[in-house]
Amino acid sequence: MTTTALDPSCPAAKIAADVAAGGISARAVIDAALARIEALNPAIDAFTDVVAARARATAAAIDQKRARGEILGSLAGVPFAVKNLIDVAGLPTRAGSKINRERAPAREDATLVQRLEAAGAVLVGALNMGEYAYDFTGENIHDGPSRNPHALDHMSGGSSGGSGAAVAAGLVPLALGSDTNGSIRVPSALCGTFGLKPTYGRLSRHGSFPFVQSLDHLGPLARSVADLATAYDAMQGPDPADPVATTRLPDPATPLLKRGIEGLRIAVADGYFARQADRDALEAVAVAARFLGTEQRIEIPEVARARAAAYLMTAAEGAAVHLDRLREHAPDFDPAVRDRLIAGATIPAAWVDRAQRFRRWFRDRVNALFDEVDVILAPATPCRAPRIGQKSFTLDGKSLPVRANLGIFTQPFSFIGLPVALAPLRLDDGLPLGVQIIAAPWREDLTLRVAWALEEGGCARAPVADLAGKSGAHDP
Amino acid sequence: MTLPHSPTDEERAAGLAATAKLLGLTVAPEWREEILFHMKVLAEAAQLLAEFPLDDAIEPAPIFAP
Repeated sequence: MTTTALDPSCPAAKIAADVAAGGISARAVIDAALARIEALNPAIDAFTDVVAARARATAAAIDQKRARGEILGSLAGVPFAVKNLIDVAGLPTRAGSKINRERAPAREDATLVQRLEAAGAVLVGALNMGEYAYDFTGENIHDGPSRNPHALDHMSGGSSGGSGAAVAAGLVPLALGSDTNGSIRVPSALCGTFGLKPTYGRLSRHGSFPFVQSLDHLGPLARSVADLATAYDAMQGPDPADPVATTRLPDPATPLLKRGIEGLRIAVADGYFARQADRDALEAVAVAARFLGTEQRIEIPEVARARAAAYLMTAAEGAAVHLDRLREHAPDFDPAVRDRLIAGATIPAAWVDRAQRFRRWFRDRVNALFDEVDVILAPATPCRAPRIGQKSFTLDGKSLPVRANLGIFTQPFSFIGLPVALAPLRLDDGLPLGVQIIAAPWREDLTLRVAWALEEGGCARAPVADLAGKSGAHDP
Repeated sequence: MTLPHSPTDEERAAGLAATAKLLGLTVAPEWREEILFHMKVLAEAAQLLAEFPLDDAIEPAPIFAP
């Protein structure tokens, strides 16, 4: 059966090509997406806001542009949605919280929304997330949990849980998330989508609600590497409005994808990663490594301390961001977030300073490893998606809280801002697992080339979840 | 550098009370146990960093461009 631009599994690339060729109107594509969201979102709670009138108007404008003979962008007519900490004009940027709902509506779209729409993409709504992004589960006490489309009683992963769920369920082919400690990579892994956390500073964060400014990144999730790279390329470029945005010119990755793994030295992260992952998470990395033809292993030094430093910086900076809200609205927070933020507010400045100094040390050591290898593979999460509401799990023989520890493998890399692509693997008929593909700073192209090779060879894939076949799914 | 000793639960609770006062935060009694748990986890993370030798010349890494 041929996929059409109206199918939930249709890649963004085909939608854009068909819209540009006049095979289908952008309006028809958007109407189909809005109908899917209306029918299927109640089962997964991925969307918190749908901007149907805006989306239809944007789509109509694209169709008019084509009728005038104008060239359309690389994402023409592609529906997308953004984590609700990203500004959408007219909506209060709730960032998963109750407190922020009282904010004035955003006056303009975030930079990345503007850039995707400039490439022809069509914003259809905002997505559920863990409160203030301090979360790896995708649960939200105010809006309910976003659910894993592959098993509705399992976590979507956080904090960009709605982004992972919306893409995995085929509601949209493209979503934006944020990643401070793993919040794009964890939901991508648990929901089985591709994801990209670019180099720190690569993509503008202007118009997004902050969490930990030393660590905050934005990036895309998609069901194919080509779509991921197209969106990433469309969003690159300096932005004076974000003080940490790079002044580098864009480095388009799309033209390089087909180089695949040619000439790349690839190694698997050992030690810390091998010890704390369960058998399935390690098997996913082993399968990817075998497919890529590598047996090389590499030990990254002092990973546990890197994670500890990221943990401290997160609690301290997060507390500082929210201090006024903690004073005035403490009872309105999710208790799981509030209690960690208050604990973070008690951290002595010297601890944070030491974490930042360790960050420099760790960055230098890890960057030196890229003299020996081009790409490092590591598990994304220590296990498949836990059940919603599960509070603890056992890692390396120790019982630990799920909420803080699903990101133990992602946190050390965002800590030093390295680019990481996430490739989803299916070992069996069970839930997906993710493999992190890590490269030196500013080498997103290498991470995406490896992800593309895995996808092209059938090793990594992101099929749309069959929501109708899942227990608990609501009838459309 | 290592931290001199692990605070007792009472010392940690006193620290929370003092810091909350300093920052103008109100901590409801029913929140305390969970907050103290997180303070302990944070102290363990700080200990991991404290016991790792760092040369004085290594500068902090936050980004600021004048």
